Amino acid sequence: MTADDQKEGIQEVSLATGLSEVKSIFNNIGLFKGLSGEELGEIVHACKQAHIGPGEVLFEQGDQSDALFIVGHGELEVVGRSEMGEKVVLAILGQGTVVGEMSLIEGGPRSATVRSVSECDIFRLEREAFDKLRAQRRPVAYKVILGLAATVGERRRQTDARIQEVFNDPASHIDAFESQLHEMVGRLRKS
Amino acid sequence: MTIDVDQYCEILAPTPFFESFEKEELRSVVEACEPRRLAAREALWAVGEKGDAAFILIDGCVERSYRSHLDGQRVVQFNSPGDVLGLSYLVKSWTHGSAATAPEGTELLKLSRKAFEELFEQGDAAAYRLVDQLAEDLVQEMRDANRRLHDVFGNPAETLRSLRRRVRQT
Repeated sequence: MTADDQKEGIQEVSLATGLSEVKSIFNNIGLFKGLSGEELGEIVHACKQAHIGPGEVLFEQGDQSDALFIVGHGELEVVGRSEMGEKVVLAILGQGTVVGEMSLIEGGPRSATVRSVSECDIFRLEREAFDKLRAQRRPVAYKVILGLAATVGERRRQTDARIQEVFNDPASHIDAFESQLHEMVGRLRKS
Repeated sequence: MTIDVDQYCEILAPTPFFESFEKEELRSVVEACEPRRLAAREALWAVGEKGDAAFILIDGCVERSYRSHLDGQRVVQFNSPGDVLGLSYLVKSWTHGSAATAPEGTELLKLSRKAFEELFEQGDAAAYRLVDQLAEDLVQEMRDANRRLHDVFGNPAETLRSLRRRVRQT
């Protein structure tokens, strides 16, 4: 267990979860789509398994990212901060959800805090372990990067479409941005 | 036309994109490509077309133009041998959101997604090198998308000003 693990409150444990059950969780993850059973096994073996209790923080917004997490069992919540510094729950993540995919290929600060809502079994795939697979030219590592490229490409196109929609029809979006601005000013006055 | 593989390799070997490729890896990439020549003002692709290939510039110039919500039409010029356009189209046949045109006679190599997939399936190290480059691009792509999202939805006052300006102009 690394110093980072201890900082993040992660205890490595030996899970009762069998390999076939883990593989079936991983098999339903978009990022691992198209991997053979053997390749899924390579990913599972490269992961660290951990158990965290309710309310434990997996990582904080601003922490340096060095690993991807997969929810095996339980629920996590993604918490961000509004412009006013208020805590906002951005998403609840259940079984088979992946957090921090980009950590596999780059560092950089985490964009939100993630903590457990309930007892959770999680899988942690560290960039170091993934880089070893890449250095060994394991096809599985490259398939995962291609999966990541497809996900990021899709998100980027959705972002562009969303922005395009706003600027193609400015009149029908002015009200929404005005309301957002008024809410912000209101919160600012309150605080 | 038969590709002069050696000549292309000689041009591409010292370029930033390919300098980390071993000789054999670069050769594999070039052999998997087909040449594409564009006349002056000929389009490489247009907005809305499905993309299914990446292109490697050998000689000449390609201008990629796209619409930016902040300052209208933007043009990016690719004019160095070894410049690669559309690397992400090796992953999936997305629709082009930009147009690419050659302002002058231009020579390129076309690497189709199918040819790339064949290299990948064969476990060719060249395919892995391309994926390594793709990973580098991904980081930038993600940062750019996040910045654009933040520019528009994270700064409602500025966006509101832009929208009002646009409404006045129409």
